[in-house]
Parts: sequence; C-alpha cells; structure tokens
Amino acid sequence: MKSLKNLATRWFNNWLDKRQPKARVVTLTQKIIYILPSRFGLWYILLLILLYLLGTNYQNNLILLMSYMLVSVLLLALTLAWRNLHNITVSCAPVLSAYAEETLMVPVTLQAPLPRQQLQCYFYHQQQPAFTDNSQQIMVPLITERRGYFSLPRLTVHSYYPFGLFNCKSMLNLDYHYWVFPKPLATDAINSLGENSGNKNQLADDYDTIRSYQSGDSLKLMLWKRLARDPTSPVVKHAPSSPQPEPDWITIPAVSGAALEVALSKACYLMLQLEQRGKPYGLRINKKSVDPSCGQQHLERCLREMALC
Amino acid sequence: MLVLLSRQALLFFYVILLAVIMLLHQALPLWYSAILLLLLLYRWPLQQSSSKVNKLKRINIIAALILLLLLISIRQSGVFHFMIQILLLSVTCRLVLIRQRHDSHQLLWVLYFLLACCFIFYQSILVSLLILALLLLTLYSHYQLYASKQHQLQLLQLGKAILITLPIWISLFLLFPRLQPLWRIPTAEAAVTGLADSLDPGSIENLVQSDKLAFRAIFSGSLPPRQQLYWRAKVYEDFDGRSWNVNQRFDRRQPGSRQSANPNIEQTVSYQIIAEVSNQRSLFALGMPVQYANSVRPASAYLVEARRPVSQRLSYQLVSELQAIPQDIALEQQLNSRTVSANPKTKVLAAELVANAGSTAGLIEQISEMFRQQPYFYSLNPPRLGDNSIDAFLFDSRTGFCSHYASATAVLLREAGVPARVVGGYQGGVWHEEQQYLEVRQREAHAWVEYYANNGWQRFDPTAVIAPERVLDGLDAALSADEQNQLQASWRRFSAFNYINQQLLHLDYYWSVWVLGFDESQQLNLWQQLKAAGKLLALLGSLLVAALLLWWFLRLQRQPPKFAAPVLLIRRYFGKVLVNKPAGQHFSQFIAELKTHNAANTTLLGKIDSLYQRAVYADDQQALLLLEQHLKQNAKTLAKLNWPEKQASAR
Repeated sequence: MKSLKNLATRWFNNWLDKRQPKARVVTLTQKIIYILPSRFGLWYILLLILLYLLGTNYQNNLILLMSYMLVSVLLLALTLAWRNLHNITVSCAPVLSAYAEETLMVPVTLQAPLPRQQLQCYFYHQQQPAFTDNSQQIMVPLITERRGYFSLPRLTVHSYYPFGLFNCKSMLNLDYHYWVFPKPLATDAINSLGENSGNKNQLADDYDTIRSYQSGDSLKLMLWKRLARDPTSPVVKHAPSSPQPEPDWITIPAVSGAALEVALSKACYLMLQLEQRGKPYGLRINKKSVDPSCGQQHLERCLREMALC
Repeated sequence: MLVLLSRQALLFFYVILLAVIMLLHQALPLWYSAILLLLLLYRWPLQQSSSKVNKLKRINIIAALILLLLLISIRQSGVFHFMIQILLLSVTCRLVLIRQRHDSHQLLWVLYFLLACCFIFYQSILVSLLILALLLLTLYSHYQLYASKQHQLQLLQLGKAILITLPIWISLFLLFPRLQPLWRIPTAEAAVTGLADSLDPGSIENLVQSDKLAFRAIFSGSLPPRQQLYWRAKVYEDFDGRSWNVNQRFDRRQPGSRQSANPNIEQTVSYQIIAEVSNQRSLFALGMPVQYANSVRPASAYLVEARRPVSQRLSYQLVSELQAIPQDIALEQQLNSRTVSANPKTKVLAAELVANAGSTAGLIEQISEMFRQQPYFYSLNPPRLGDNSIDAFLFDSRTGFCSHYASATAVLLREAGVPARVVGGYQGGVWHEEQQYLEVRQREAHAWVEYYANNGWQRFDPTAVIAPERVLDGLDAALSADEQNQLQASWRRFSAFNYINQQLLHLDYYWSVWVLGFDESQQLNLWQQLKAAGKLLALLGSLLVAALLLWWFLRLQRQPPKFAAPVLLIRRYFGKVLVNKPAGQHFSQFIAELKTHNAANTTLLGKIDSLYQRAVYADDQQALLLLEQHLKQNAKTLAKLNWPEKQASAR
C-alpha cells in the first residue's frame, strides 16, 4: 500500500516536472493553476444535492430556487478562486543560505496587478504556511536538515478564498538553490582545531571587556544591541590593538561520518567567532585550502566549502 | 491552522440562528425553543477565549440530556420535526463552543439546510424575502471567513458577481429538470383551516369572520356569471338532528381517474386554482370536473382532493362542466334519504308541502315561496338554537345564515322523500379585472343544497331566495352596516391601508403564479418554446459572442503598450540580430558590438543609436520620427546584419 502511494507520488511529481519545467520567474497561468474542491466544498456539494431532493420532494420551488442559488455561488467561488491566483508573478531572492537544523526564511516575491486575498505559501505540507494579503514579499519557512547545496523544493501557492469551498493551488518549480552550512557548535577549546595556538589566552580575555567607541574603530566590534538601547554612547568590544602577526588556520581533520559533522560544526563556530573579531583565518579541508583572509565574502566562501565537503 | 472567529462573525451567526429558531417555531415545542435560547445565552458575552475543555464536557452532557427529551417526545413531533429539532440542537451547541474558522463549517452547513427548511413552512412573499435576506447574511458571513480583513466588500465587484450568478441561477430554475417526489413526506399535525368535516348551524358564521385567503382562480376563458360560481369543497350527507357530517365513503380513495368520455365543449370551463394552505385534502371545483391536473385526484361525489394534505400552496388545473352532478354510486340516493326522529314540526310541514306540490320541482318552488313570503331574515348573528335546531329555526327564530337555510331545506326535502344533501364551499369571489384573477376568501364560505332529480344532483341555494344580493353582489351587500363593520378589522377601514394591502395581495398573486406555481408542465412548455425559437436564439447568441469579442478587442487596444515606441521600433527592424543581445546589456553596448561585426554599416548604426537614445531618454518626438524614417529606409540593410554564429555559441 505504501509503495503504491510512493509510486503515485513519484508519477505525479514527474508529471508536474514535465508540465512546468524549472524557471527563475513564474507567472501563474491557467495551465498551472489547479482547483480542487476542499473537504468543506464536497460537503457543500452534498448539501446542494440534498436541497434539490428536498425541493423536488416537497415540490417547493423556493427550496429549489435556494439550491440553484447556492449552485451559482459555487460556480462564482470557482471563478473567484481562479482569479485570485491568476497572473501572479512569483520569484525568489537569488542567494539563500542557512545553518543546518535552522529554519530558512525564503523571501518569495508575489507580484500581481490587482490586490489578492489570503494567499498562502509553503514548501512542505506539514509546515506552517505563510500568509499574505497585500504585501509583495513574504517569508516562507523552510526547515533545513543536512548541510549541503540543494535546489529549492516545489513552492505551493494556494488560497481558500472565497468561501473555502475550493483549494486553488499552484505548485511552482522555482529554479533556485540554497546553501545549508554546518550547524555552529560552541566549543571552549577555541583553537583546538587550529595549528597556531599562540594567543589563546588573550583571545579569551578580551572577549568580555568593552570600551566606548572612538573614531576609527571597526564596525564589526560595535555592540549593536547596546547601541539600539542607548544610541548616544556607542560601545565597542575591546579588541587587541596590536594586529595578529599570523593568521589562524582552521583545519578539518580527515575523519568521516558523525565525527566529521562534529568537526565541521565546531569549525563553523570558530570561524564565526574569528570573523566577528575581524581576525583573518584560512581553511584547510582534505587537499583543498582557502587562503587566510577576512570579511563576509571570505566567510561565505569558507562556509560553502564546508557545506560541500 | 488556527484562525479565530471575529466577534462580528459570531454576532452574525447569533442573529441568523435566532431568526431561524423564530421562523421554525412551528416545528418546536415551546420548552425546546426556551432551552435553545438559554443555551445561546450561555455564550452571551461573545468572548474569544474560554476554558474550552471544561465547556465541551458540560455542553456534551446538556446536549445528551436534551436529545433524550427529544427522543421521548418524538411521537408528538413526527420525524420531520424531529430532524429539525436535532439539527437545531447541533447547530446551537456548535455555536456555543465555536472558536476557530474550521469549526464554522458544520455550523454553516446546517444553517443553510435549516434556512431551506424554513421555506417548507412559509411561502408568502414577505417571509420569503426575509428568509432570502437571512440567506444573504449567511453567505456574507461565510465570505468574510475566508476574505482578508483589510478588504472591504466592494459594491462594483459585488455587482459583477451578481451579474454572473443571476443568469445561471434563473436559467437553472427555469430549465433544470425536475423529479417526481421520491418518497412520501411525513406530514405533521397542523391546524386545519377552511371548512370542517362537520357543519354546525354556527360554523360558517365563524369562518366568514376570517379575512384569510382561501384560493385564487384564473380562468382561461371568460369569467362565468356569478350565479355559477359555486365552488364545491365538501359534501355533507350524515345528519344527526343538529349538525351535518361528511360520510365515511369520502375517506376511501376513488379508484382511477374519472375522465369524461365526451365532454360537452360548450359548457366546459377551464381554470387554474392556487389553493392556500389548509392542511386538509379537500380542494375546490366548479360543477362537475372532467379533466384533472396531475397534482390532484377525483374524490367521491365528484369532488376534488389533493394527494396529501395541502401544507403549502398548491396550484392545479381543472376543466369542469357546469351542469348537474351525476350519481356517483348506486347507494347515494338511499344514503341521502335517511331521516332522524328529531324536529317533529318540520316533519309535519314537509308532509304538508308534499301534499300541495305535485313534483319535485313543485316542492322546491313551494319551499322558495315559503322563505320568500313568510318573515324569514338573513343575518350574521342568528340566535342560538336548541336541540331540535331545524324546528327552532323554521318556526321560532326565523333568522339565520346560509348554513341554517341549507340545513333546513335539506331536512325538509329528505322528510318529503327527495334525496338531498348539504354542500359546503365558497360562493362568488372578488374579481380583479386588471390582474385577471378571482380572489376567494374565507368570508366567501357558503352552504347550499343538492337534491336528486332528473338523474342528477340539482343545485338549490335557499340563500339566493332569501337574500339574492348575497349571490349576485357578495356577502357585504346582503348584510346590514353593523354586520359589515363586524366583519372588517378596524385597520382595514382606512382606505390607504386597504389599498396597500390589496397591492401586496396582487404582488403575492404574481409571486404564487410565477414562482410558486412553476412546475414541470410549464417547464416543458418553456423548453418547447425555446426549441421553436432555436434559430432566433442561435442568432442572439452569436451576436452576443460577437459583441463580447469586439469589447475584448477594444479593451486590448486601449491598454497602454508594454514598451515605449522606440523600443518597439527597434524590435521590429532589428528582428533576428536582437536575439543575441543578452538580457542585461545596454543597447549602446550592443550596437558597439554590432559595429565590430558589420564594419560597412558603422555610420548607420551610430546614427540609429544616437536617435534611439534621444527618443527614449530625452522624450524627443522629432528624434522618434527621424528614427522611424531611418529604420524604414534601411530596413533591408538592417535585415542582413551579421552576427557571427561561432561567437554567439561561445558566449
């Protein structure tokens, strides 16, 4: 039974893939909007049949009139449901990344010439859908599990508008990918992975001292939370004034399986710490290596290397 | 997914449910309505959150108890009413506990069903409009559940939606096939109105006090003279000395339908009757009915009856012959010659009359003469009569209403050996010339006599002898001013009210003819008419399609073009080469690249580029014109522009 269901799902997915190939920007057209009666819609149809029978049995034209009126409401709901989704242009932010086991909020852009009502978006059915009425951009949650580089799953845009009788939906195959970096794992031995452990104590020391901001201080040292509370007197973390003579190298040991994951997680944490402090660092994984540097782009590059290894 | 209901939605549901409980009060015992209202009060301060689990348990226990009570009283209420009661119970409990949008599905479903059930109890135009309003309110709350809160329902959109639904609705009603009733409907006990199965000396006077409509009649020919408008409803054959009763033979079903073999075309009248709710089977017919509609069937003594008690307006078609009613069964004469030993004076009088008169016709003449010449009076308020009611009337009070005269005449005839019976029904009616229908109210109730002579039951109306105005001009003409006032409700005396009331009645008439009376035969007629007008309809349809296409085309043209004019020009003339331009590249860069591949046309391309830039970015009209000229002149050159294949694939 279960295999049969799997087979049906696979067949359905293939059919969908063939019907609507991947694209960066998708406009919802008649071809890719699917309208199915919801459970309540089926009950409603049963109601219509019952009213028709009641009306004919009592030979009561008013009941018949009412049942026909509800039929026309059903048809109206069908049209309105279709119009609610029709002609929406869906796209997505180009770069997406998150740490493993975190919820990735995917910014989805829905552009429509006319205002739409009660649109919902989700990637997997079990997840909380994101709602939108007027706003063009909504954040659709996507729970990440493993590190890696994945293509975006099918995005379902659907609405029960109006009357909740029809589930009008479109399953979009958006051509985007997202990165899942290793989950950062806090570690005390901040340099245990690094070869150069020269300034271990100093690192631990200057972590919790702060001083007031003076011009020329790196913005990376700024305590933003504090600034939000008290904008008049900015405060920065106390950083060692003397530059590091040698960059840190983060080396991933040649292990595999769970041990590798742990190592990657710890390395990730370390990397973030170093980045926060503005210290250059390099990465060595197996035979690959990224030369020591600093900055957001460098961090991104290193994290991607770790995601893929 | 949790979507809580708004206070407004709850309030609307409360209003609708209260109205439904009021409307369905006929199906509910009083104690049950009270319980429902109390249950509703339980939730009254319509707060959102509450200790739900606790409540659910409590409500379930209450509902179970009420269900038990309902089951005990199922005998009294009947199956249909029981169903309504259960539905109301479930919807009330649901409303008390409701929190989320998802819960409202069952609520809405049952509300729709109950609103439809209201139409079983009410079909008059005013109440129907009220129910329709409730239905629209339900639909509105239903819509609001699934619409965004920020969006107000816009009138324009609503109008469009109605424009879409209305034709579908109406055509479904007119054209969708109807089924015969599938099963017998359990009918509930309800108050019977109209003529009863027994006729006391005072019963018709009571009926006449009522201003309620009994039925309406529409004649396909001209209106027969008033003297012929005797609507037979009941035949009373059993007399117990004081009151007349319907014989048991009327309870039995008449086998088969009784279609006349050779209807006398000249004397027939064809008419449609729309009978009001009476909760009894007996219906109304003139003379001898010879053709019956499907919804009615013949009864004994050439009466007409409905297939089940008339619990909603019933419309039926009849063809009648205005002549003496033939004998129905062999025993009929015997049945109507029985006498009782009450009223000894009447017996003596009958013997005298027989002795004086030679024939039956002579006897009738004698009786008429007696009523005409001796001091007999026609009155709405006759004195009460004792046990020997006929004696007391004929010899003491001499004042009576139609039932007194009919009853006395029938007894006299029976004592004289002529089979006779009392017929109850209606006489006359108010003819509305403009609307072409006859309105018959309960106040037109009447009783007269049928006696057997010349192989048929002849009609004799003693009231016509004593008060001929009653037959010719209606009841009001025969009564004194005081008695007329007694009949009219005080508010009816104001002419304005009267006028409005009459207009409403006319509206009600059209309502019952066009909406309530619409049935299979009319539907069939409509289909045939549509078929006959098929070509015309096809023409109309194609015209409509053409008009729609034209409208669409015009709308398409009026839409602003997607791109500015110069861009369109470039697109048109550069055609093939433009395919190679990457999406993000600027046009000037593209031209520069083109120039490298087409050395011969460098100047031309440069010119076009500069004109294009001026036209697009400086909005220069003259540049646009020049650009168009240039492009036109060099169309051929532009079509042959080179783009190296290899390089294109390498990119």
